[in-house]
Amino acid sequence: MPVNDERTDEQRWAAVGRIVSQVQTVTHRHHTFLERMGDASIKPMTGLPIAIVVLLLTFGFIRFVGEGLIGYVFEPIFDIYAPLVMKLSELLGPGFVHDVLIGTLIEGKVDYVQSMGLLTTGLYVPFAMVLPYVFAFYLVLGFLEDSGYLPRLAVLIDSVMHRIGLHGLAIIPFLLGLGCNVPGALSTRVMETKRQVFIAATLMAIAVPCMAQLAMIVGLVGVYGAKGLGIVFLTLFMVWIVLGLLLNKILKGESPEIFMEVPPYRIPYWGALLKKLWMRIRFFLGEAVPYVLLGVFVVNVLYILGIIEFIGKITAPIVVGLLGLPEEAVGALIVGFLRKDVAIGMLLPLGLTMSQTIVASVVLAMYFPCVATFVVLTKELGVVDMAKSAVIMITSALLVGGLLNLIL
Amino acid sequence: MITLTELGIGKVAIVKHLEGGTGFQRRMASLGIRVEKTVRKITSGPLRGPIVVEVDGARVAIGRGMATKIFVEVKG
Amino acid sequence: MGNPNVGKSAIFSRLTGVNVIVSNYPGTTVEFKKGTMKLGNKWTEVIDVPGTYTLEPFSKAEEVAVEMLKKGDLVVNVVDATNLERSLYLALQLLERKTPAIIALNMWDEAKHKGIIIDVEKLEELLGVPVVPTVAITGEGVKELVSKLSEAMLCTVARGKDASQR
Repeated sequence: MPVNDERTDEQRWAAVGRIVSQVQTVTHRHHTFLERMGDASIKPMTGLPIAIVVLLLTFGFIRFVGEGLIGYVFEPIFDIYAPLVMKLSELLGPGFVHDVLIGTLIEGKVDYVQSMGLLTTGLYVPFAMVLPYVFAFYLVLGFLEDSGYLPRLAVLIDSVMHRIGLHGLAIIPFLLGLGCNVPGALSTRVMETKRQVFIAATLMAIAVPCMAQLAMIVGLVGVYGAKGLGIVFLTLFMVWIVLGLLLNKILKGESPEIFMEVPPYRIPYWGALLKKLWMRIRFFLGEAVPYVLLGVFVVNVLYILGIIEFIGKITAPIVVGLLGLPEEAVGALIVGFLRKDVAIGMLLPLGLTMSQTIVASVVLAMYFPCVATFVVLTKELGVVDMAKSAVIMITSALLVGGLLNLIL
Repeated sequence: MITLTELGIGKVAIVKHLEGGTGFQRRMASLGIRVEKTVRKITSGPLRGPIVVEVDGARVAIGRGMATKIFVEVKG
Repeated sequence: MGNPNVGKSAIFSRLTGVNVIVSNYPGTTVEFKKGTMKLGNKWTEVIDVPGTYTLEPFSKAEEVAVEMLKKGDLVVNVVDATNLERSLYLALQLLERKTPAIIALNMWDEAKHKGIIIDVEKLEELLGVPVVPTVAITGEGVKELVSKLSEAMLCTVARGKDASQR
């Protein structure tokens, strides 16, 4: 006879109660420091100031470690590497192989960002510009994840998330998306309804640039000082809110509320934290770098075959007319399908003004996700929803791009 | 009886009634929100945010709409 | 199998050596992960699944866990020692199935800090399946869990007393 037949809930809970009473004894429970801290960070009065401090510390840490790594580790390495590349360049002499490996020399010298050679830009962008920020971001994210702070943040911003049709836990896909849109897209699965998954995925793909892209934007727009960066981030943030409000109104169906355990604070276990960091760095090196090299290679081929000029002519009304960018900028849009960071790097040789760079960065961030994210999103959302999402992406990118072009 | 939203912060109460179908009851039960359970209200989120209660030593965040369907009796 | 945020992925990476993302919030694992381990002399496949509170899934991630259960020959039910009551609901549902099971009483160290004492033998006797205290993060108790795994595979469904008398 079946030993445990299907029982109703009450019987099951009754059985649970009986077992627990016979098995578990709880001695005194003194509130540990961690528990008090845990409650303090979730109560709005103390929680909101703590959240602001945490966010400031996070950005400060990422910039400090990112720039530190660039300045003291990677820049020197590439400085030592430069003469070697120059020797190779002389050895190869002009020709197709030179263009592919070294790329175009700027005033007779190798410019790591503009040359677009596999051994120059292909290595410099991922390692000297992007990796430092990816490393710093995942170190901080790992700490926030393992400590148990994220669920508290989720509770604090839950009502904001409600207005865009989601709930507090949606902070996870957005934060993971900030690192890389691929894990971000996967984690939308934690949302209960299809409607929420669609909103979270679309908003993430449009308004949450990945760290690689952010690193390049900081490199490119940062040159004009904090004002330029402020505009880019403010725009993306506004798009995130406005688009969220719109989607929440248009898409019918209500969104379930948050219902989740808030785990106790735990001191992150260093072994696990570093292991996770290494896994994510290895993912970046294994997945991203090949795409960057491919992107750089594609750029070379497109330029050499003159395809970019050809496409530039066709898309001129949009690229030049609406967005106020030079025709060649379309090259960046094309490569943006492959890798966002390489695409932004391609803007440098075009000698854009500050406002043009801002418009280009925002449009590149919004118009379409990179191919890796696109594949995951299609799997998560299904082809139909992905198409809908894509339409939203392109229209909002052109709209915002055009608007920015007018204002700036 | 009052709803969880009306319960004062820091107050301890006993769950008396859950207003909803088996799906709702089962979901609440999974995190310890069941009739006769003792809960302590930790806080409620900003701008009509979720209610956070402590039950069985664990903290649970409950959306405000759901919280209005949970009826409790203040203890002692 | 087990509730969200109880240490399933941590135990999984201890058993198989496969690195998986482990974090302190419910819903970290959203996709099942496969790994292998040596059990006795046979290489057996181990699958890490998203957390679920009951066998009636609410989100897509939970559906993945319930699907995988059907394919399993043995269920390692990871239980949060600091919140036994909540974990036991799922444990009982799992025991109602015919698949042999073993319970990993995880976060054993944290339970001690919180002054929670659990009589493991009594629990084993009541549930009728092996129960092994573990601390997945540091690896404590994992060896014993492995040794008991082969034992659990053998005792198929000898659950003894009917659940309602427990």
